[in-house]
Amino acid sequence: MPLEKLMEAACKPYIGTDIEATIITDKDGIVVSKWTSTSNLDAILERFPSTFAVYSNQASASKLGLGRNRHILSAYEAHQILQIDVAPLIVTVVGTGEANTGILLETGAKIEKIAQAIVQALPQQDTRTQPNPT
Amino acid sequence: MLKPKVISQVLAQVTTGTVTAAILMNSSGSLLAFSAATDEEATTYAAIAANIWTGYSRAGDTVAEKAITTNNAYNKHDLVGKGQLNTIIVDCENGTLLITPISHMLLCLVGNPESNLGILIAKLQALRRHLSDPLEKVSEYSF
Repeated sequence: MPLEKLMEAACKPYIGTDIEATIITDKDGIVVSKWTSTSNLDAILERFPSTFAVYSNQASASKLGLGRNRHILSAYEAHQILQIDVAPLIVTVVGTGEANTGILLETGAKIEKIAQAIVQALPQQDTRTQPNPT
Repeated sequence: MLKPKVISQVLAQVTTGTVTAAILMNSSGSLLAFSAATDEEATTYAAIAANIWTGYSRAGDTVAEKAITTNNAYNKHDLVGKGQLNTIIVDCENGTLLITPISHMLLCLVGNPESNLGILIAKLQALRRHLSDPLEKVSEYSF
């Protein structure tokens, strides 16, 4: 099943009431997979992944003392935006302003599992120095 | 006149059970009153919480401006921006940080890993309701 369909299936019970879009990107905001119920959310989906990358990293690496950052949920008047760290990817779930936050977190957990499957399929970056062939 | 000592006592009322810190600060992260284990801890939470708040607030503004420019119309659906950020929840492995605005200030609660999100939000909203009126009166002098 295509990734977009898997993401849509995860959101299906709440489309039109709570969930408006989900997107999996890398830390620079490059889209890996995207499902959205409306085209009005493009500005959010472009801007927020990179914002999360900066502040999640700050919350994790700083002296906050609360360990690694797992997710940030920002609740605005018209939208709630949940962002989950699935290093090296970021899951973003956009819900309506009136959406049930618990539903957003539950949907986020489902999309997180899809993102984890992608991460496992990614080749591990080899940082070892290659031996000189000569 | 606003008495910081009284505000600290009010903040101390929520730092029970799984809530480890309650902090009232201005938008640049300077402390106004707090209830936390140490001064250092409160200063750190305040600085980082204010920074995250400013970043997300700015991101919301950018999105709203872009949406209005693109659609050439004011659309309620795109109202992510200015003054519209209500709450931020930062969930980490060893605790949760909640941030919400009161007047021109920010209120931050920190819960330990055993804390339930529902009780944290309830305490945050109760504090916000309790403090918003008196803080509104001094907001014109603030920061």
